[in-house]
This record gives sequence, C-alpha cells and structure tokens, in this order.
Amino acid sequence: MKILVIEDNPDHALLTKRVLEKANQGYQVNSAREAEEGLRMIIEESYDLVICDYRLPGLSALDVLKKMSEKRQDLPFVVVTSSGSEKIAVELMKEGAYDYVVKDSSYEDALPIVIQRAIDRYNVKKEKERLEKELRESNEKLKEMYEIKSSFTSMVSHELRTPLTAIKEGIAIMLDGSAGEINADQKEFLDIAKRNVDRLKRLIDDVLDFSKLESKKMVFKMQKGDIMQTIKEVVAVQKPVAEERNLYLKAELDGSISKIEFDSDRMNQVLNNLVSNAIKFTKIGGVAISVSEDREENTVVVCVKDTGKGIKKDDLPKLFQKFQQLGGPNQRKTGGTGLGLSISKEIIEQHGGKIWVESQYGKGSEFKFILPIKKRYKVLVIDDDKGVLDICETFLKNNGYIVLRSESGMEGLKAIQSNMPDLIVVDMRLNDISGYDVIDRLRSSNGTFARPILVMSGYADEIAKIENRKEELSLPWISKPFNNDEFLSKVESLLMNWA
Amino acid sequence: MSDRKRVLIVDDEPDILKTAIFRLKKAGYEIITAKDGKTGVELAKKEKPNLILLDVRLPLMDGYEVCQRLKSDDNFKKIPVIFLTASVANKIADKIKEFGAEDYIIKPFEPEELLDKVKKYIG
Repeated sequence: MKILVIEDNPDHALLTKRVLEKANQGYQVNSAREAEEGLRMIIEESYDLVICDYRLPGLSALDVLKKMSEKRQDLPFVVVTSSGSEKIAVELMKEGAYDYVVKDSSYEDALPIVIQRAIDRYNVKKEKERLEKELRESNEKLKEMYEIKSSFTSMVSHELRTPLTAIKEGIAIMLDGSAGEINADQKEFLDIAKRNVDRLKRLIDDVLDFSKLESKKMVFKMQKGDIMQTIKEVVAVQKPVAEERNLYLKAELDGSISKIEFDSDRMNQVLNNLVSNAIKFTKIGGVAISVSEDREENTVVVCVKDTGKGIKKDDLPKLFQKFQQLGGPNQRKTGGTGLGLSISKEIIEQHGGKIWVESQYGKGSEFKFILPIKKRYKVLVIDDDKGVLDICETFLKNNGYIVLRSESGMEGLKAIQSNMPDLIVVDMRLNDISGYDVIDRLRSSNGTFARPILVMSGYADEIAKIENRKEELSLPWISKPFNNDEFLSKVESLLMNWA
Repeated sequence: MSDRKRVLIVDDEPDILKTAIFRLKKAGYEIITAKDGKTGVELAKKEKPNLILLDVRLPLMDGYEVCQRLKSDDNFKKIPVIFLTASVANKIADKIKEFGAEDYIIKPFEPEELLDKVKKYIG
C-alpha cells in the first residue's frame, strides 16, 4: 500500500513514518512538505491513502480536500489535527476526509486504527457507489423496456382500430337498411356482429388506457367543476340500460357539494364503469349513486350502491387488481378485459383520491371513491418591511392562500406556535432576531417542525450563505425582488413536495 | 352543373374509403377521393371541395402537412378540414388547433358521427 504523508514539520513527518513502519504492514511511504507538492503527487502518482496535517503553510488540509474534489480525486484521507475540535472535524468530514486523528500522546496507538477505519469507510463508500450505479443502470433499462411496451401497445391499438372501423361501418350500413332491405334473421345476426365489434372496441380502449395509466402517460385535463354534473350525464346514459333490465338507477345528489378539480371525461369513464358493473351484477332492485362532502377530511365522497348479489369476502382484495374477473375463468360471461376497475383505481389515484368497496355477500355492494377538495394553505410571511409583506400578501391572496403576516422574528415565532401555518416565508434580515435565528429556534424548540420554509433575501452575500447552509437545513430561497410567478411557483412546489 | 356539396376524402384504406363514400353519397354529397397526402393537396386545390375528411397517417405526405399547406393558402384556408385518426395517442385535440383544422373524428366512429360532423360544417 502506498501512503503519502503531507506534513511541514520534519519531526512529525518522521514520527508518522516510524508509526507506519512499526505497524509492519509493508506500507510504502512518501512524504511532501507542503500542500501544493502533496496535491501534485496525489494527482500524478497513485496513492492508496493520504495522511495530511491540518495546518500547513500556504494551503490547509481543507484546501487540499477541496482541490481534490475539484479534480474528482477520492482517496482514504486522514487529517492530523493538533486539537480535537468537533467543529473542525465536522468541517473536514464534510469536505471529504475519511477520518481524523489528534496529535497527542495517544497518536502512535491511534494512527493505525484511524488508517484502518479510513480505509474501511472508503471501501464501504465505493461499494455503495457501485451498487447505486448498478441500480441506476437497471432502472434506466427498466424504464426503456416500459417505453417499448407502452409504445408497442399504442401502435397495436392503432393497427387494430383501422380494420375495426371498416367492419363497424360495413355492419352499420347493412343494419340501417341503406344498402337494401334485410330480413329479421339477417338483422339478428348483424346485431350480434355489431355488439361484438363494439365489445372489441371497448377492449382495445381498455388495454390502451391501462397501458397509458401504467406508464403515467395519460394526460388529465383537470378543471374545476361540479361532479354532480358528471353523475347526471352518466345516469342519462345508463338509465335506459338499467330500465331494459327492470332495474332502477337513481342519483341522490346533495345540493351543496364544493367544486373540485377533475378531468370530466375520465371521471365519466370511472362512473360509467362502476354503474355498468353494478347493473351487470344486479338482478332485482337497482343502483343508486350518491354524493356527499366530508368536511373534516376535505373530500367529496361518491358512492355507487347496488342491490346485487354482493362480493364474497375472499374476492374483495382481488377486485381492483388487473385482469381480474369474478367468478373464475369458466364464468367470464360479463365480457370485459378485467381492466375496468383497475383503470378506475388508477384514474382516481392520479386525481389524488382513493377508491374502495364495501360489500356483504348476498346483500349488494357499495363502491366508493373520494376526491380531494383543494386545500387552502396557510402561509406566514415574516419581514420587517411592510412593503414586502403587502406584495407577498397580494400574490398569495390572489391565488387562494390564507395569509398571516409578522413584522418581526419574535412575533413570527409566536404566530407559528399559535397558527401552525403550512408554509413559512421568512426574510433573512429582520429588526430583532435574524431569519436564521427564527429557523434555528423553530427546529431546536420543536423537533417535529417539518413544514417547508422559504427564505427571502435581497443580498447576494446572504444568498451565498443560505446556499452554503442549504444542505444541512434544506433551505430553499428566493431573492428579492421577485415577481408573482417566481414567488408562487416556489410556494407551490414547496407545498407539493411537502404534502 | 349540380349544386351538390362536394367532399374530398383522403384516406389510404380502400375499405374505409368505400364505406365513407357510400354513406356520404346516400346523404346526397358528391365525393372525390385521394389515397395519399400529395394527391390530396393537388385535388383540393384543383377541385375546391366544400369539406375535406383527412386521415392523419398517409403515404407521401401526412395529414398534418396536407392541412398546413391548405390552411396557409388564402385560396383554400376556408375549406373545413376534419381529421380522421385511429390513433388516440397523439393528442389530436391539440393537433387540430396547431394545424388549424376544424374538427376530428376518432376511428372507429359511431354510425351517426361521420354524417353529423360533415353536416355541421356544410349542411
């Protein structure tokens, strides 16, 4: 093993060399008397370990580490310090040192242990990096396969749709009599053909939908709207189907449901799926759709309840899995892909909701889903400049946020305790305590405080400071002056990541 | 000279052409057809139809380009263009805006859909 000792004091260098010889590990030891020389040797020759004095003339051990990381040189690096200061140690480790050893009476005994520890740490780190790289690569590969699968599915779907168009039109033209009179038998068989072509079309649509949902490629046109409207549309479409089977289909709509954000076409698809399933599995009675608002959970609850045969307890967990059809392989008479419910589940979940079923065998089923009502977030802005407070307040209020304002750090801390805002926006320079102090007190007084904090500053040097502390405190920042879009996009992304 | 409205159908699938021709003729339209994009543009310019039904995937020139060429020409940009597409993946709703087309129909369509859309634009 090749070791480089960087040490300006010849006595110390000699001592270190002697300790290394005594260790009797066959170390090959070279030495440098100053940092520049050491750096050159590290880059030009290949070493397995570096032992570097903390204090050197010219560059320090910290500088050596920084330069090494600039040059992407990573080696087991041990720093020799004259004092056992924790602060220095932490700083060194942050810059990439693997361990440190204090130059005192225990130096001779400690050094070999520290060397071993540094080497172990280095090996663990390298192994971790290797594994991470492997994982990344296999993830990439998986993603690629996924892409291939999903583009294959959409290609196949396209290819299937084209001939289906001609078949469907051919049948329709014959059925409507425009190509000549047809007799009752001919009509019956054409009807059969038509029904099955339509079924085939639905299957292709399901497979494509599923593949898009699975690869998260489905684009949702989210719009604020009234879910009752969608329910009414579905009832209008499904009512004739229910009545044909002597079943009722009714909507029990509570008049005061908050508007929510959803894709109405996709929600229509989910409701159609649930209602047509309910009709399919019900012989007597009917289907009722109800909608209500859960004010505590801030959700809209939709329930599709039937008086059908219900679902056996053992079957409940299978229900939302893909390619599942109840009744086993010999009873696939309902004619679906077994994708309907898993598609519905994906759609609801990508809306931020949840779907489940409650059922008692023999007594009917209730399919329920909830959709979130957009939460109004509470934001506290702390700044001693009233103008800034006004601007922030305007930006936030115009976009539906609840705004609290504090003109000093202490006032801000109090407001946080009593109001628990979802996000805190704090200026670095306040007239009593600094923004840092606010954050430090927040984190130390309340270990569980994990809500996002956005730091504001108008000074470049302060931003540099925030950036340096970014890692340990994870502080996102915004520099003043900012415009509405800059500010809101920061606020939104912080809240989103936090939720 | 007949005063019947003329529809140009551009589609490379002969069977789909045939069913569409049958339907639209029954409804009283005069039909001209092209089986590739290049011929589609030429015919549109020569014959000045009242409406164009345009498949997206076509030989020689795709439907989007056909549409763009016609819509960028003052003499032809008023002719309504309805895209026909079997692909639900390519966000057709955005594409018709991008290329200035009037409407779209996704294949396979329901029997009334084709006629309804044609009637909507040229009566």
